[in-house]
Amino acid sequence: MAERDPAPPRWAGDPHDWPLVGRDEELEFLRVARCRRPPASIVVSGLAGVGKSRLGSTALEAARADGWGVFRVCASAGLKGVAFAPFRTAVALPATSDLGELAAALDEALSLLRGANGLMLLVDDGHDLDDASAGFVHHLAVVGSAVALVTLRSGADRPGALTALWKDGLAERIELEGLSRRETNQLVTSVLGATVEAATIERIWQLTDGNPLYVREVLLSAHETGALRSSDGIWCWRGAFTTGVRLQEIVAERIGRLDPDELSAVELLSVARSLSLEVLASLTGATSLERLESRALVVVERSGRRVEVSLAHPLYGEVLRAGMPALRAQSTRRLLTSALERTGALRSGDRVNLALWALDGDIEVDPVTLTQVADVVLWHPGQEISDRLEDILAGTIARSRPQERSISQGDPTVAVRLARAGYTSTGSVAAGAVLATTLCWAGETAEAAQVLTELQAAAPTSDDRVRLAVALGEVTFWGEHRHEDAIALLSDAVAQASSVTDPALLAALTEKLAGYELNTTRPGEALAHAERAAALVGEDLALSFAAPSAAASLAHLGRCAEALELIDQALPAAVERGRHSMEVPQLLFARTGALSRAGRLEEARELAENCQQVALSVDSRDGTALFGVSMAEAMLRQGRPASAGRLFRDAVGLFQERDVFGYLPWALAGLSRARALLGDEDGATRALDDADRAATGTRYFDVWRFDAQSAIHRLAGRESDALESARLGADWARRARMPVEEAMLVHAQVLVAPTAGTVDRLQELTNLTDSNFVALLARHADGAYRSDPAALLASAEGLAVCPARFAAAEAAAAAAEIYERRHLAKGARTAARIALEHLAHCEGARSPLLDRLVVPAGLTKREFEVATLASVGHSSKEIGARLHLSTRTVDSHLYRAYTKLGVTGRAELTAALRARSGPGHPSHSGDSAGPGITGRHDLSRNY
Amino acid sequence: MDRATAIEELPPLHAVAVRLRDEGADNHVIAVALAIDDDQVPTLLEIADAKLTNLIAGRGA
Repeated sequence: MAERDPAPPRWAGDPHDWPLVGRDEELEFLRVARCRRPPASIVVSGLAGVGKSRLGSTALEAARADGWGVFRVCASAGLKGVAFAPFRTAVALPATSDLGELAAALDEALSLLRGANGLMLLVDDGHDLDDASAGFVHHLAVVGSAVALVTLRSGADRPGALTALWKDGLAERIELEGLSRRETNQLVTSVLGATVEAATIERIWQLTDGNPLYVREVLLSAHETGALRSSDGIWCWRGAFTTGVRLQEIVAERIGRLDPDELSAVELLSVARSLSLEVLASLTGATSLERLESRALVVVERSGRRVEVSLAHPLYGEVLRAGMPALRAQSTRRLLTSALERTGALRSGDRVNLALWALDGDIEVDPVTLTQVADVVLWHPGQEISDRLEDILAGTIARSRPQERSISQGDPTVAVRLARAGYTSTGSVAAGAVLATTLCWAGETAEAAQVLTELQAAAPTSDDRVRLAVALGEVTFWGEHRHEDAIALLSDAVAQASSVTDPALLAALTEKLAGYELNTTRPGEALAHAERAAALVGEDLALSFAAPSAAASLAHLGRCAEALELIDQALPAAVERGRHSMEVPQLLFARTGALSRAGRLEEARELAENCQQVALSVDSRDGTALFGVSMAEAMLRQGRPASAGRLFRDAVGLFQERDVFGYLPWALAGLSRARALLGDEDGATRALDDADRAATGTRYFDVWRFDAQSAIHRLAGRESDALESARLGADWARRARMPVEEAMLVHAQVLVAPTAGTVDRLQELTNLTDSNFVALLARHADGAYRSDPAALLASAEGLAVCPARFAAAEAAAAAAEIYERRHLAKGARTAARIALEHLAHCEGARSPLLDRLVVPAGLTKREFEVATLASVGHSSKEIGARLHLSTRTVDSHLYRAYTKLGVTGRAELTAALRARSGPGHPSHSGDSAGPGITGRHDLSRNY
Repeated sequence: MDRATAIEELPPLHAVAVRLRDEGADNHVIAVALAIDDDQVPTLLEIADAKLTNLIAGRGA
C-alpha cells in the first residue's frame, strides 16, 4: 500500500549536504592539473545548477588536504562596477583607487596564504567579476603565483581577461554537463535512501537533464504535492508534475531579462514544445533567436531536412507555461495555429498540438481530425518503437539529451479528451469505436461499454456492426476481464458477418479472436484464427497485420524457430504499413518470448531492455512495465533473481497504477519466484498471495503461479508439496499446449526427485519443441535419474551457454554430490568448483542442493546465515532487523556457530568461513553486496 | 560492463564526443557537433575516457 513519507525529507536541508555524484573524473582532472609543473589553471563552464560551485569547493578542499593554501571568492553581478569587489570581503585593501596599488596589496595578502605546494584560488561565478579582478586573476596565472579555478556560467557575458586565460594557453577548460541517467539514479537513490522505480528515475532525468539543482527542486516539488511517494520501500512518482514556486523562481532567474521578441520566442516554444526554424523566425525574427541561442536558452538542431528549435532545458517550458496568463496563452496558441496552418506541412506533433488547442476553444478543427489525432496520441509509443526499430535490434539506442516531448503523446487520458470531442461532434460509429478504445486504455471501462451500447442500437450497416463488435470485444476482454464472453461475442460476429462489404473488417475481427484465444491458453486456436485473418485479405501471414498473433502463438507452442523466422519477415512489413498501431511492439514482445523459450536468454534480455528504454523515453508506462516483465523473465531463467525481482517489482508498481493487459498477476508471480530463489519465503508467499488475489480469469502466465508455489515449498523443505505443485503446473501447461513451460515445471520436479516418468516426459517434450533449453533440461534430468555425474556436468556446460547459470550450478552441484557419495574426492571438488563458479553469477540465488554445497558441515542454515552477515561487518542488531530475530537470538546463533567453527569471536569468523566455503561466499570478496549467497542481504533494501 | 554499454552510460555530451572520435572525426568536427570551442574537446575526451575506464571497471556510478 502506498503511503506518503510522513517525515520531512532529509534533503530539505542544505543542498551542500547532498552527495557529490558523477564528478570523480573531473576532480581527478583538476588534481592532476594543479600538480603539473608548471601547474595549470582551470576554467569550469556550465549551465546554472549543474554543480560548478560544488565541484570547485570540493577541489579546493582536496587541494587544502594536499598542503595547498586556498582562497575563495564569489563574484556578484551587483558589484561588477566595483574594482576587486569579491576580494574586499576577505582582504583589507588600501583606500586608494589606483588599481596597481590595489593589485599589489592583494598580491601580497595572497602570498601570505601560500601553502607548502602553492596557492589555489577559487573564483566562483567568474562571469560576474569586475574587470580589475578578472585582470588580476589573469595576472596570477601568468606569473604562476597561484592556480586559478574559475567557474563560469555558459551563455553569460564574461570579462575578456577570463577568456584570455584559455586563449593564452594559461588554463584548461571543462564543460560541465548534467548527470547521466545512471548518475542521476545514484544521486536520487542516495538522497531518498531507498530504491527508486526505473520509470521515476527516467522521468526525473527527462525533466531535469541531470542538473543537480533542478533534481533537488523537482524532488521537493513532487514530494510536496504527494506525487512522489514510497510504496513497500520503493519510491515512485504517480501523477502529473507541478512546478513549485521555488523552482519557478530559479528558472526565471536563469532565463533572465528578455526583450519583447525574445520573450515571444520562448513563449511560443513553451507552448509548441518545438518549432521549425522557418516558422519561428517568421514570427519573432532571426536576430532574437541568435541572441537566445548565444545565451544557451534555446537549442537549434537539424532533423533530416528540417531545422528545429526548442528550449534548451525541459523545465523552461514547464515553468513558462505555468506562469503564462490565460489570455496570453490563448493568443500564443492562435498565433501558432495561423503559422502552422500557413506552412501546410504539419508534423505529427503539430497536428496533435492543433487538435488540443481546438479543445481549449481557440480554433476550429474538423472533428474527424480530432478522432484521427486521438488515434495518433494513443499509439504514439508503438510508433516510436517502430521508428527506432533499427536501433532496438542493433542495440544502439541513442541516449539523446532530454528535450521536452510533444504534448503527452501516449497518454490515454489525452487521447480520451480528443476522442470524446470527436465523437460528441460527429456521433459516428468510427468515432465512437475510437472513443471506446481510448476509454478502455485509460481504464474507463464502464463509460466505454456505455458508448458502445448506445451505438449498437443505432448501427446502420453490417460494417458498422462489425466495427462495434471489435471495439466491444476489446472492452469486454481487456477492460472487464470477461474473456470467454469476449470470445463468444466475436465468434458470433464472425458467424453473422456474411454481408460485410469490407473484408479488412472481418479480418480485423478474426485477428482479435486470435489474440483472445492466445491469452486464454489456446495457442493452437489462436494460430488458426491468425492464418484465417491473413487469408481474408489475401496476404501472406508473415507480411500481414496478423503476424504478431501468429508469431506469439508459435512461440507458445514451442515452435520457436518458426516464430523467429516469421517475426523477421513481418517486422519490415509492419514498419512499412506505418499506420499507428502496436504491431511492431507486439512483434518485438513475441520475439523476446520466442528467444527466451528457445534458450537464447541474453538475446531475449537485451531485446527487452532495448524496447524498454524506448518505452521509458516516451513515458509509456504500459510499455515500460510489459518489456520490464519480459526482461525479468529472461533474467530469472539466467539465474539473476535480484535483478529480475527489481524489474518485476517495478512492473507491479506500474500495473497497480494502470493494468490495461491484466498482467499484474504475472508480475506478482514473477516477484514471488524471484524472492523464493533468494530464500525469502515470507516475501515470496506474500507476492504469490497478491498474485492469486489479482488474477482475473485464466491467462497463459498462470503457469508461473504453480512454479512460484513449488519454489516456495522447496525452499521451506516441503518436498512433497513442491513436487505436487510442480506436477499440477506441468499438467496445466500440457493442457494449454505450452511445451517449454511444461518442461520447466517437469524439471522442477526433477530437482526434487527425478523419476523415470519425468525423464520420459522431458524427452517427449524435446520432440515437441525446437527449444534448445528444453533439450538441455532433458539432459539434466536424464543425468540426474541415472546418477551420471559426467552427463550432469555436460548439461551444466550447455546450460551455461544460454546462459542459465543457476540451472548450470544446480546440475554441477548434483554431480558433486554423486561424486561425493562414490568417494571420488577429486571429481567432487571439480564439480563443486564449477557449481560455485556459476553460483557466483547468480546474485544470491540459493536452493537446498546448493546450500548443502556452500554451508559448512555442521552449521544449520540459520547459523550459517547469521555467521555470514556477521563476517561482513553487520552488528547483531542489524542482523536481527534483517532476519526478523531478536538480538539475543542472533547472539545465540553466533555463539553456536563460533563453537562449531572453532573460533572465539567475529574477528576469526571471516577466515573460518572462507576456509570452509566456496568462492561464492562473501568472505572471499569482503563485499557484502557481492554475488553469491550474499544477495539475500540486499532483500530488505531492494524490494 | 563492455565498452559499448559504457558509452551508453556516459552523460550525453561525452557519449557523442566519444562516438564521433571513434568514427574518426577530428576535434573541430566534434566541437561543431557539440556546439563548444575546439580547445574544449581534448579535455572533454580525456574526462570521457576516464569515465569509460571507471564504468568498465565497475567503479563510480
